[in-house]
Amino acid sequence: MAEVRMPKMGDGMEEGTILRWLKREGDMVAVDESIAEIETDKANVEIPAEEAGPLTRIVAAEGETLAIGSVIAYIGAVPDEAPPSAPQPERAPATPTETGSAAPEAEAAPTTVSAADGGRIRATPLARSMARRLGVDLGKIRGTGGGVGRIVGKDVAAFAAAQPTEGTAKPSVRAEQTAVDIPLSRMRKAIARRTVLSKQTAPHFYLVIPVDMDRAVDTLDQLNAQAPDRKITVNDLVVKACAAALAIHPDVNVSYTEGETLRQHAAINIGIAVGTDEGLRIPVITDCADRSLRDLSDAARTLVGRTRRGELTPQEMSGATFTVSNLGMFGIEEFAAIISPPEAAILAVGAITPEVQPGEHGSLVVRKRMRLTLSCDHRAVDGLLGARFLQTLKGLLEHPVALLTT
Amino acid sequence: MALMRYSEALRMAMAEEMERDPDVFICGEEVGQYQGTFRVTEGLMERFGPMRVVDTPISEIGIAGLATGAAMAGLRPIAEFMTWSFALSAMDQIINHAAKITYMSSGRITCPAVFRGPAGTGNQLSAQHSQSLESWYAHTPGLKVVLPYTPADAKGLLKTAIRDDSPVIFMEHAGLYANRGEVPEDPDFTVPFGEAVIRKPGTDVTIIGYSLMVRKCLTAAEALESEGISCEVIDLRTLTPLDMETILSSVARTHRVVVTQEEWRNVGIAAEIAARLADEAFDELDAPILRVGGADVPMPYARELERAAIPNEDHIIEAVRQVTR
Repeated sequence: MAEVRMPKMGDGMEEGTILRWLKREGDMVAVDESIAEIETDKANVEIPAEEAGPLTRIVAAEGETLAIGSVIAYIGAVPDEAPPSAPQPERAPATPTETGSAAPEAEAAPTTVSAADGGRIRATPLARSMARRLGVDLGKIRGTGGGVGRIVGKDVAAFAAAQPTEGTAKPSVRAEQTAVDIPLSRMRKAIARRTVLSKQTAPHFYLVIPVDMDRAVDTLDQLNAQAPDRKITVNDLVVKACAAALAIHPDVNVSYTEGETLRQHAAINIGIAVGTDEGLRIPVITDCADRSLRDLSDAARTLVGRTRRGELTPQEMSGATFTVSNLGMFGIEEFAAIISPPEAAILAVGAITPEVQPGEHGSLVVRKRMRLTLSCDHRAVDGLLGARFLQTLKGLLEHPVALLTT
Repeated sequence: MALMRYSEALRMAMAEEMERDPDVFICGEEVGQYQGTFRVTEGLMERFGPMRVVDTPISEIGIAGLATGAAMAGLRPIAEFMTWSFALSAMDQIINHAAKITYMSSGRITCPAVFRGPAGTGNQLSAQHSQSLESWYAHTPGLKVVLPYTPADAKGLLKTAIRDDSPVIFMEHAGLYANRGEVPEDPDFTVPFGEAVIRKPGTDVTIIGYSLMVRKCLTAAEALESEGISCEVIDLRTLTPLDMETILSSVARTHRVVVTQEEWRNVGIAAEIAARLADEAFDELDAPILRVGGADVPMPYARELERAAIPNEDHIIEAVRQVTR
């Protein structure tokens, strides 16, 4: 007998909704075969069976929303005395059956194995002291450390960061006859929670710098003339420049943690904000430090395509250490973005517009200008650091040859 | 600043202190006419004469006894052992007399002697000549134990040792004598005891070492950087006094520790540091404290076996990977 539980499919996921069951009660299921589709804050994903056997009982109905870890179905024998929704029924050996070969996309979904299995919770002293300080229950945390699923400090920090903060805004109770209340989608709720968390906990300040983009535009024109079917966009170049600037200023590639530490990330993972009709999604390009401009551009194209088709997996939206948001294509000259926690900064990219500037000997010249706005979490990044980072970024974009050779 | 070898920095420290204080003198085997096995005392007999650079008979207990007695009488001897492996026959003088006389005389008699010489493993010198024994002395109350890594520290710490009123065990790794580095020429330059130094800052793991192990720690840290693991490397410089403050503040940032020592892993200074961290930084630890040390065997002569017995960069890298897993 195996319980099927609502899995945790990404940072910050607390509950999920059963969209539909792909199997019916009594169906035989193979290991890794998809049995249900669920909706999380960020994406719709399929749940693979972890054991083979008959799907004996479905206890969560389609449309039902449950906390992660809740039992949603049973594979194999269901103890009669245990009510279907009762947590932690008695364990029994699994029913051995032939294994299937179906391997759906969600195969990388993390299991909900808890470090608490078997009695005492395995956690480091740091994890325990952090949990005490933050008032977090270690029993709810999945450990990742030591190769044995031990709960380590970062597991507690991640769990605490994913907890909703006390909301202050009360919904308006005044009902207007002409208004229609549209239930919030899970994504809308997630955006609301994350932006409020960001603005309430991260003291934002903003730095704006103009960048001369004449050389960058020329360079991209030349590159794209050579390979018109693999166009490199201005945004790709900005992402590449950010990766290079973050490598030069690792102090920006950090997270302020409630554990009273500044976590400097080894990898440079850049999120790119993609607007869709359903809402904002931020797919993540990982390990940008080691990637060429062409490589980054290809990765971005693939991710944006998957975003627009709604195919992103939670993994593809996790782990960003810095985000780039670009509204230049809509003619927005400059704007200030909200930091995506636990990142320490976000770059807002404006449109490239011709501007008249003073030239030599009192003449006037027209240059292509773009404005970059860096939003910084002042707990982690000071004005001086932010300004230096932007200066580096500006230098890289104004002399883009360096971005082509690494 | 001047670029010089570790051995030259030691000589500079002794010459400056002998100029500064007529009570300072050197005694040991082959330190005068032969000018030292590792040329550390080169030119000093010619400069200061045979009364202050004293060639002794081949008797380590005699050298240590001479130094201990002279120090009790008010002089500031620098006793050189040809290697610390030979000093084992002088242990009674060092442990039972030099280390204890201040306590036994209620502070009326001090013993400002420096015992110095080459230490450490390597070069196929085998079981009796290739070993690290610093923890034996660090274990004993009344002694200060100093193991410099850089030429500048060699000078600054030796001058502090000569001026210190306690007996000081000063171990120079033979593998460091030829190392070059910038050394302050200022005769007032000293390095205080009990102040460790962060040789490389990092965020993920604290690696602790001293003497030649610092080089291995730094090499390991550089290699680990490419795996995305940022290591902070601490050079202890002195084992007693031990700078727990620097260690604790580093561990409060990294939460992970690997302690290295060249000596046998069993019952060494690394175990002491690990135990103190468990006492004083328990809530900061996010992984088991790992030790890297020598194999618990007499040093083999065979090159491949010797290589396996001496802790190296790969052992450190493996330990760091384990605590960051």
